[in-house]
Amino acid sequence: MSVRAGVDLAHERLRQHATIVAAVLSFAFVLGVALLERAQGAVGAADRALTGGVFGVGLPLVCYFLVGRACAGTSLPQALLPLARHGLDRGALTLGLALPPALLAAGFGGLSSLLVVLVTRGPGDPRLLADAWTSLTIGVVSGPAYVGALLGASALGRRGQGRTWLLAADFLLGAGDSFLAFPWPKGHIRNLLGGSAVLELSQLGALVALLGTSLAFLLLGRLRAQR
Amino acid sequence: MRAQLRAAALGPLRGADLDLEPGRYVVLGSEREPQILLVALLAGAERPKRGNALLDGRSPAASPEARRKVAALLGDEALPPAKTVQHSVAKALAARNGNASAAAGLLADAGLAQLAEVDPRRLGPRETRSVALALALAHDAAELFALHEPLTTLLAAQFVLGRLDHHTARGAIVLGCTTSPADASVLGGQWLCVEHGRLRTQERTTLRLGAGPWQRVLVETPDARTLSQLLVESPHGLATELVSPDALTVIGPALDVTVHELLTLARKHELELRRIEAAVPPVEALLAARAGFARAAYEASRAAAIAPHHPPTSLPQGPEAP
Repeated sequence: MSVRAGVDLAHERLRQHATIVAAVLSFAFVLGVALLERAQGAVGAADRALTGGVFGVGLPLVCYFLVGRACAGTSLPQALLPLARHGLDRGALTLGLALPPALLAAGFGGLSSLLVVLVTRGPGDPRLLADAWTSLTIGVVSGPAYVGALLGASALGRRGQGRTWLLAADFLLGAGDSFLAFPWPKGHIRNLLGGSAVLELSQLGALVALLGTSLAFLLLGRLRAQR
Repeated sequence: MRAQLRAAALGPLRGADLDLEPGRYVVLGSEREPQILLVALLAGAERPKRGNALLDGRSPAASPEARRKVAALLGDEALPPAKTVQHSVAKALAARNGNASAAAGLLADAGLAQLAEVDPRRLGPRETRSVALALALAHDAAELFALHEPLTTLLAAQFVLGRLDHHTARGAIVLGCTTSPADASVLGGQWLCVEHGRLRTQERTTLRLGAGPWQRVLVETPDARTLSQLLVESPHGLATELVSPDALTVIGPALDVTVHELLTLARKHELELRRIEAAVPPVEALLAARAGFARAAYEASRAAAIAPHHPPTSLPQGPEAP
């Protein structure tokens, strides 16, 4: 009951024109980056566009936007209040609230990475299908991972400033590969795409770390909202 | 149901000690006082930074079961997001295990039928609070009603008071918070005063003499003793001091409430009131007197400067200390 109500809460908040506008702009940005990278040279264009445009900038910002909308621009406990005050469980509501933005983020991550690979490689490239499948998978996993982490961080700060702090930390600290980059999604996604590894983790280790840290953020946020 | 706040503190609410059993209560304080936080703590919308807020021993912020027994009107209300107000109300009713199909009837009963098809995002703060109050007043399973300024919404006062009487009669705790002594008087019940961010439930005798926005009123009547006895039995926690057989001082919260109670009792018991006067002059009167004194002092010194060969004009006396 509470999970369903949480899903409905997020669905109603995301069912706005602004969400469609943001999606169109984000796809346009990703496409623009792909075209620019291809214009600079076909060799390595897909990698540059994916690590920079899609997973470096586009996906984190889209997830930040989606979580902000799902939380109605406020903190996680306040976002749950309209239903939690009537007796619904905040923990279950949190999980429900995470589902719609996670699905949208998975869709954006998958489609945008697919689009970038198609544009940068071209239809005649023999590695097109393999690259497209790998990028699609990483996009589908990375979107929900970002949403989980950002939603959990939204429990910090009176107006949910925690998600802004997490985004800033992801951009600044996630760019490295030391232990400081470990809690943030960016370094692990870079590893999955074939870039430098955080703490020299394998790709499987990076996948586990990405999902594990995101889940940890989400559960911490859930715990904080429940108290 | 027993609602308790034990040294509960959150932001400007520096310490609240309350122990409420079923009955009617009204919290009165100035606009600077954090009454909004008091309601938020009792409703489980916020948790105290220090101390505890407990409903039957459980924290409403942590326990969904405890929150289900609370009907609240918060200072800043937000309805569940939905296409229309009616859908929003239906979601709230479903969340408290109520009958969601009763939403239209609930709005109509409260006189808010015209809002049923409106997008909740288009409602103003007062309309949103009105819908939230209608939802709270319709909560027949609630054991605690914590309402911030319940008489300032679009709902008719008679409707609100009728519903509150109904819930009080069935054994709920009904707590209203207001900054208006007139509204507090209409809401009725035991008065509690929040001052400098602090609130205490006190025994009635202590309450009369305790801190609060208390005012003294001088009353002259042929039978001061009888009037004193009547005032002591008043539900507003008035205290009296007999000055002489035909004069007494009445100490009460806010001048208008005290004087209203005096007039009501005098009319009811056919007592003659010869004089009613505030013992402490209003702040504005003191400020005006001080301004007059300063102006007179300035004029005197100016006159002395213009005519240096004459002896200086004596300064006027200042206002008497209250």
